[in-house]
Amino acid sequence: MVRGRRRTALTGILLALSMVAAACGSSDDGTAGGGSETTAAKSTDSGVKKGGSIAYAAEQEPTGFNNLTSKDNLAELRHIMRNIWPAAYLARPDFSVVPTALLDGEAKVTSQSPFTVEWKINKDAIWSDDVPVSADDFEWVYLSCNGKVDPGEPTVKNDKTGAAETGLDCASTAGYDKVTKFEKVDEKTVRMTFDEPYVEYEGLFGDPMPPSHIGRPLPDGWNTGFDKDPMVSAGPYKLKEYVKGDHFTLERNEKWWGEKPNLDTIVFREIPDPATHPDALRNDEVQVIYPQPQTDLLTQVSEIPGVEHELNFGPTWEHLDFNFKNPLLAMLEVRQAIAYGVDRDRYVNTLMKPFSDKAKRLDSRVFMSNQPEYVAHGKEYAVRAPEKATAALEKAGFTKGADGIYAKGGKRLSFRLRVKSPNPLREQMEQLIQADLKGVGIEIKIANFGDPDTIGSIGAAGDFDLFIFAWVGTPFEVSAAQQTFDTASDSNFGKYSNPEVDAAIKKASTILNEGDRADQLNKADVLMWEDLPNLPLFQKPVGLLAYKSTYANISDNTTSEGLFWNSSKWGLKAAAQ
Amino acid sequence: MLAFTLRRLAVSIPVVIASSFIVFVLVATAGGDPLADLRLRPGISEGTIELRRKQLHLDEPVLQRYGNWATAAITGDLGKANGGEEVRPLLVRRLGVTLRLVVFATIIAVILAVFIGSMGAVKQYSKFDYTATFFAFVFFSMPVFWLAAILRDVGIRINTRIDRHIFFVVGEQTPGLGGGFLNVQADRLGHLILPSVTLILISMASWSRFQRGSMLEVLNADYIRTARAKGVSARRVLFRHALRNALIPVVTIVAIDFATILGGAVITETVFGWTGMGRLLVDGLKASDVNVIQAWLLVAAVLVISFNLAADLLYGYLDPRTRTT
Repeated sequence: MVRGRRRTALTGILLALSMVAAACGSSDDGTAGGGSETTAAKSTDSGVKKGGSIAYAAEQEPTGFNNLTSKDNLAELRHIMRNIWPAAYLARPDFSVVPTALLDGEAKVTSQSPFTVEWKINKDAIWSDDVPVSADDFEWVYLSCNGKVDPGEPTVKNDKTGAAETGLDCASTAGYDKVTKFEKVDEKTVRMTFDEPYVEYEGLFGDPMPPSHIGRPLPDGWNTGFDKDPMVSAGPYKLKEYVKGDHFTLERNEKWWGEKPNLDTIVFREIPDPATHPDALRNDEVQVIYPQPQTDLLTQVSEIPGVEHELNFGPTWEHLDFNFKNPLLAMLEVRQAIAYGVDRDRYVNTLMKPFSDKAKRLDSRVFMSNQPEYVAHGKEYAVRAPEKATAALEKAGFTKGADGIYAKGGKRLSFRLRVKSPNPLREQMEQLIQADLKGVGIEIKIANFGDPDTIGSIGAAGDFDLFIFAWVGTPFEVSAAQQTFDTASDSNFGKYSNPEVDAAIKKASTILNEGDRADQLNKADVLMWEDLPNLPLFQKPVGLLAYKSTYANISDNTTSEGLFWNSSKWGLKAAAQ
Repeated sequence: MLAFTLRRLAVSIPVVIASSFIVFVLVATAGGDPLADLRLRPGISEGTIELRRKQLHLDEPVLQRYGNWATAAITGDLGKANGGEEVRPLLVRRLGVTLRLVVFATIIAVILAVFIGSMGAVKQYSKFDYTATFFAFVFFSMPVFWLAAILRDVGIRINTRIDRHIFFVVGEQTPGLGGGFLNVQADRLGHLILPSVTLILISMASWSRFQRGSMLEVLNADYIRTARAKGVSARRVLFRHALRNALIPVVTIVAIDFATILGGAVITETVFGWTGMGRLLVDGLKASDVNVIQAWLLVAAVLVISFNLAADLLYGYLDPRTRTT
């Protein structure tokens, strides 16, 4: 059964990865579906023949194969591993979530108090070395990612606290750390009991899981056991060849119990510079590319004969952040003046419309405009209103100086605006914002930074007044909201704090009913539009998908799954050679 | 000669040590945090961050880290990259890629530069000289990425026109290519052509100008006039007396340039999707990956020292007066 309105799932790793990726302006937000969903995708197999190969231009080289470790938690590794190791859930382009062929139906909540969930593994699920995929594999993931020191686990001493902590490297403990009891009901059933209702339980086991029968006996198996080889497969494809620094080749896994993939092989070619991808496609050295969208790449791709392309606005959203540590920006009227003073529609028209006419202003912090739960709460700031901006400032006691800049008590409204450069889009946006705010008596000084500083390091240090970067909205809206706006979150760079908002989001995290949960989150968003912790600007296209038109069923998935979400269905058109 | 070589090598060791120390400290203290992105992720436990910090030895003082690195490096252990990969095989692989790209290109570029430069000097102000000068300045002033992009486009157009894959624009080889040894080698050659032509044209442009200038100077020297007056054949004057001496300045330039290119033909590698030394350095810097940068530095330093030494030794061969005993 597929529930229509369920948020997309996949684990907190996905959330984590996508947020970091967007923040860093990289393309770390894709993943591979591996064609492992049980329900038919939007694409069909009609007119597709079996056989053939496809080469994909990959920007990243894997560091190892255990995508659940923070070390190997790279987007394009997910693309590969989604096809090789089993995962329980798949997020679809419409933000719904479906269980994969790994499960025998959905995970079921068997008890509300204590909150208990049960996963049943498909009886046919088997590793390529004929060992069944079992509760042991789930248990290994749980033990490695619960953040606790379990018996027999390696430990490290935390220098700050002196405590011994787990020596297992897990990219995200989200959800697993709330489990109070893990049970292997039988070989194919696991049950987990949580310390409180955990509504995003579908994210658990949503990433490719390593084979426990191979990894557990190895010394340091979780951390390094799969550094060179995934060993076995329980997905539609298995690794055929790996030439480090050059390419991977996947071939069909004959032991795969799900829908057989159409293509014989998928080749992941390491081509680090996305600017070269269109020419590689044009020269037929790769047949599918998915670089970060840039207008020149879009132009190039659209001029290549025999190539289809699509560009969709995904959950990556740009925003203007305020640093509440700055006493001036801590004043609501100043933030309001900025919000009234900028022309968000102009930024959309200037920066996003060249990509697609579908671009539009974003007026929510908790849902994306292509989600049904989206409510545009920011309409008050939809149109640039200089008179409202100046009125807000004057109401707060600011007066306009001779230089046209407002000031109060000798403090001028002059702020440092930062982006990580080079980033032409954000740098152009800075110019527009600077001009707009000058018109309302606020001075903007552009103070960009580059490597080795990162958005994370600058944000964590609070070294900004105004800051433009992007988060990725995900199906885990509650986790995302908590991470971004909760008072205690390290990623709340601006140090915004409103106990009411914290409580509202916290409450949402306990609501199982999806509609009610969405309502609760929207209430939090309304509160935040009153506070203006930041100013949402617009969604960005996630990736520029382009592929040879001799192939069928290739389609984008703007959730963190990326384009490999249905790779089993990819194939050469029946008429193609 | 042996003593000279050993002495030069001995002098180089402190240079390598000092440069490795300076670079290590600079990278380790520059403010880049290899765990910055990790810290941003929700759900990452303190324990995981602590674990990664310890795995990367970020919890140790910089001097201690350098000491550990240097001690291990002497034994050939260059440590692990931030991603956990052993640096030594990574370095060997990347150096292999760059070597394949630049050795062939440099040999061709040197031969062409010496020929064109010498011919230009011998036939000064001829059509050949003017043509060679024109193209040398064109390629010398053309940005590498621009030339590479043009060549890439031309290659694709030719492929399209003849409906065959003669030129390849990304990578070093076609993955999983079968068809036997010859087919694989032909494929590799196809991948090599465009990046090599890029490097050849750029390198040749400057080297040919050096060669021309040097050759002109030698051809106008008294001893050449004397040799001609004594009735030495024009061929012998040109090759035995003039060319040999005129090569000395070019040898210096080529030696230094070659060492630099081996450190990474960053732009050419990037445009043609080759993952060589240049890419290694860029990626290492982006990730504040001190072990990777150190490894790159070691190779670059050794190459520069080696080729400078080779140049000195070549002087001795080309000009016996400079030989040291």
